[in-house]
Amino acid sequence: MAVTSLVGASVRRKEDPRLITGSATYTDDIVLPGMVYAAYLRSPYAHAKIKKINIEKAKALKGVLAVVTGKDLKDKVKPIPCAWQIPNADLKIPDYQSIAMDTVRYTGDIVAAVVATDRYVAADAVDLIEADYEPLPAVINMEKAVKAGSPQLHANIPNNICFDWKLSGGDVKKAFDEAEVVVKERFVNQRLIPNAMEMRGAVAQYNSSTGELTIWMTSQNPHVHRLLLSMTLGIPEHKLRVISPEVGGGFGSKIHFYPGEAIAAFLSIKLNRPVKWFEDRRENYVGTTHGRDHVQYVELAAKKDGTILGMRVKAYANMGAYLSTAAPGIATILFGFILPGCYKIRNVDCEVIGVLTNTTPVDAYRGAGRPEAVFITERLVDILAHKIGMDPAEIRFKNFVPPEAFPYQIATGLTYDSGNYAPALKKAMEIIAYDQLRKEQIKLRKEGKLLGIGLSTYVEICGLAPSKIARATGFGLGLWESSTIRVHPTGKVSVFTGANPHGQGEETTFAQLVGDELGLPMDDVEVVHGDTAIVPFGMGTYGSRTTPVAGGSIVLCARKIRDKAKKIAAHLLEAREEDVVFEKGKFFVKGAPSRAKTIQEVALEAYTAEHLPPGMEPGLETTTFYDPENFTYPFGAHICAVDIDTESGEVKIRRYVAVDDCGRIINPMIVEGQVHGGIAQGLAQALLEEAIYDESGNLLTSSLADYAVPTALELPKFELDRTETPSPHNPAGLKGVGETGTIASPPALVNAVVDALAHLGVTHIEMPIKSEKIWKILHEKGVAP
Amino acid sequence: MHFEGAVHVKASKQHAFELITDPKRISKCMPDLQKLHIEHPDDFTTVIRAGISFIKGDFTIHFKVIEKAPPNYVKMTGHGSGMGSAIDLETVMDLVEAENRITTMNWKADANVSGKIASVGKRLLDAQAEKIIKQLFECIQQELGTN
Repeated sequence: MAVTSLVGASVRRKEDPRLITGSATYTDDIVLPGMVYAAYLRSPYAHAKIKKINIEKAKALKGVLAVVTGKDLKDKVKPIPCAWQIPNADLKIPDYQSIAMDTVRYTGDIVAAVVATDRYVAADAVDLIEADYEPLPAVINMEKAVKAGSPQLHANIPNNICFDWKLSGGDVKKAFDEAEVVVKERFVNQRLIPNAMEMRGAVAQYNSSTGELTIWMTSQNPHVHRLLLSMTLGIPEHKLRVISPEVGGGFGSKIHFYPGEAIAAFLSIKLNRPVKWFEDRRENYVGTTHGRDHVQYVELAAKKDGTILGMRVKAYANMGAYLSTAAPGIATILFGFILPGCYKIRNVDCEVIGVLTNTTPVDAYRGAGRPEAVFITERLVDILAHKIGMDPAEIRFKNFVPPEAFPYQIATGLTYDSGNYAPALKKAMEIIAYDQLRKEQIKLRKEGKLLGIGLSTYVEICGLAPSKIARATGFGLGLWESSTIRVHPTGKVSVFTGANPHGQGEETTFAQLVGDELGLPMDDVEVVHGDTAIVPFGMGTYGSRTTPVAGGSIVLCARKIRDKAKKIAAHLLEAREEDVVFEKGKFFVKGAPSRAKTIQEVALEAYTAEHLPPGMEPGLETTTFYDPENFTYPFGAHICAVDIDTESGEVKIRRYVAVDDCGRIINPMIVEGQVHGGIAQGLAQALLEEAIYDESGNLLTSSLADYAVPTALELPKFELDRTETPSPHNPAGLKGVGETGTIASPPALVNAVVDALAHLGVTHIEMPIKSEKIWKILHEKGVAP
Repeated sequence: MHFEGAVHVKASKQHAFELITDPKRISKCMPDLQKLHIEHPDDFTTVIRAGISFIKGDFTIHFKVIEKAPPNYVKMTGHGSGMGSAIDLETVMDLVEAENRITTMNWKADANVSGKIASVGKRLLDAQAEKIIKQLFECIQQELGTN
């Protein structure tokens, strides 16, 4: 490992000046000569047959250039593909057309598209399209949807069940037979709306003379989008260029391939003009994927002393009206495999039933499958602790996988790379003064006041992923990551990554990695990403993979550069390669530091190529494709303390302590930023957010006025600390941290609230825990007025 | 949404029936009528301006009489769209004439609103629909004379 000077330092983010001064370029900032604007008519019905569409009035509006319906795309735009086709689950993929042909299946299904010279004219023209529907009964509730006689979304998918996935490890029946205590619950992990600050959109520019299509789009993974666009539109990959300019947040929602971008591309080809389409917030709420939406029947078997024996989970996962890009894998692979969490639970059964309903498709949202799993485990452990009268901390210490067990194969077959769970929890308990808090809780209860303490000790799957495992689970591609490092003749460096960071800060952290590996200052390293014509094929940013996988790739790439540079330096120094050492940007002969060549001198020599070792190619540039041997498994302990107002039911977060372990840390400030954002989003789920449909399939939380995204006012001060357990298989010991906060915090908060009310006989409260839910309980128990 | 009620008018049920089944006359009682196109007295299309809160715009609604027993009974459906929304309704009207040429119009309506208006204004929909119904019957009473 390189001598660190940059890695480990809270270096200021290179990307911030442009982001905070408003000088960054986002997709909607792209303006091209001759550009025209698309707008889409979306179905007002959650389920209906399209009887007739009259586009004449829309076409006649001044400024309108084209109006297209489903039949115009027939045979020209292939159905939207599902890219995570989980095996052995009887997966049935519904026909997902960019523009609905004869049936609409959610309020938001696109029915027609308009192109006009002006965005407002396009919107007016959409209103002039006369679409005549025959309404059909809609089904929103998953458990109703799977029953015989329910409205059917797709003729070839009986009972709306698009997959039935099972995972089994150990002997669960035996575990439950031997159990002295069993706890059972039904959890709802509610539907959430991702709410990236920037909505989705695209600018498509077709050049008929070359057959090339360039599309600027809000993408977390430009190469994946290029591949899927190529498959859908039939444009060869080498004629397609996807550029992802600045992306204003994605949280998973910009991984997926959607009709909107495909239609914009089709319209540009049809008109041979640049076409821009950009959502407004309401369109985003119905047209961009939602997250979570599980109903889970869960059971935990244990001994009276708190030893956990086994777990059973049956979950219904709402897929919405169609299967979005990664949806089947999110609800199963990223969910079921991690259920044992950080405990020695040797027997696990999990079944996930994928259900189609008349709602917006559901797919990855920050955490993606893991929050749904960790919530189950962390809640069940707490419920068990309360049931047997054990402290929630004690039961965790008792069941943790011990540090000496790593690498540790869990019941579902995954092998945790490294972990040391107890120190993280101990540290969190020390910071929050756990024992003192418990004493205070007892004292306050006597005074009629409610204090609750909630623990959440999580482990999660990060660093997606080893390609062989990805492929074995039905993922459409491998999940390696690429990088190219180009050392210019002046010794300045461009780093091209196949990941596509969009605010996470890897332009800074990758520069720190490369700076240390090559002994260069940060300013001499520029990280380039987000353009398929410039960077090698890459898999993108999601699944907390950018730092461990792309970062790992970059470190390996930099080491290859260093190896070549060392050969050149040895040749110039007339020394044997093994006698040359590299330190702080200089190659020198061991024991004679004055006989040295700087990396800049070596870089210049690589290009002047006058004194290269015999047979060596000129240049100082290399590409690496890094395919990790395993996932990475960050972990940590979060403790939340809440005071509950006995009159109003309001939850006040008194303290929130998070001790996370994401392996080796490149930039503590950036890690803290990720943890802050993650906890905020997790607490938002626990306390406020919930996408609600009425029985007819209308999204009632259809704007930021109705869907409660928290502000800083609703959030506590986060007290963060860390332990550092490097990943043994990652080239730089990195694990990833982008999703930990979102995964850990919902159960921490819910555990705290339930803990505050446990003496009243409360065992569970569904998220979001709004004041009125608690008030109702307190009122029924005679506590609240 | 389900609504029902009874309204008294100072007219024979023949007169009342004629009014409510005459597209030209009844459409005048619809809120902010923009256009009327009559295919047939039992099959007509209106464009009305309506909305909830700040979402306001033109709705094209196609009405069809699907059952009638003059001058006692009429059943109509309405099916329309606009502003990214759709409305489907079915109304039934039973007319009962008492002494003194007082007719009671017993009515029922089932309406389903979907799309943007339903999403934005679900909580306001009932109140808005009641307002429109009230206006409609006040207008009918004015045309026929109230009790």
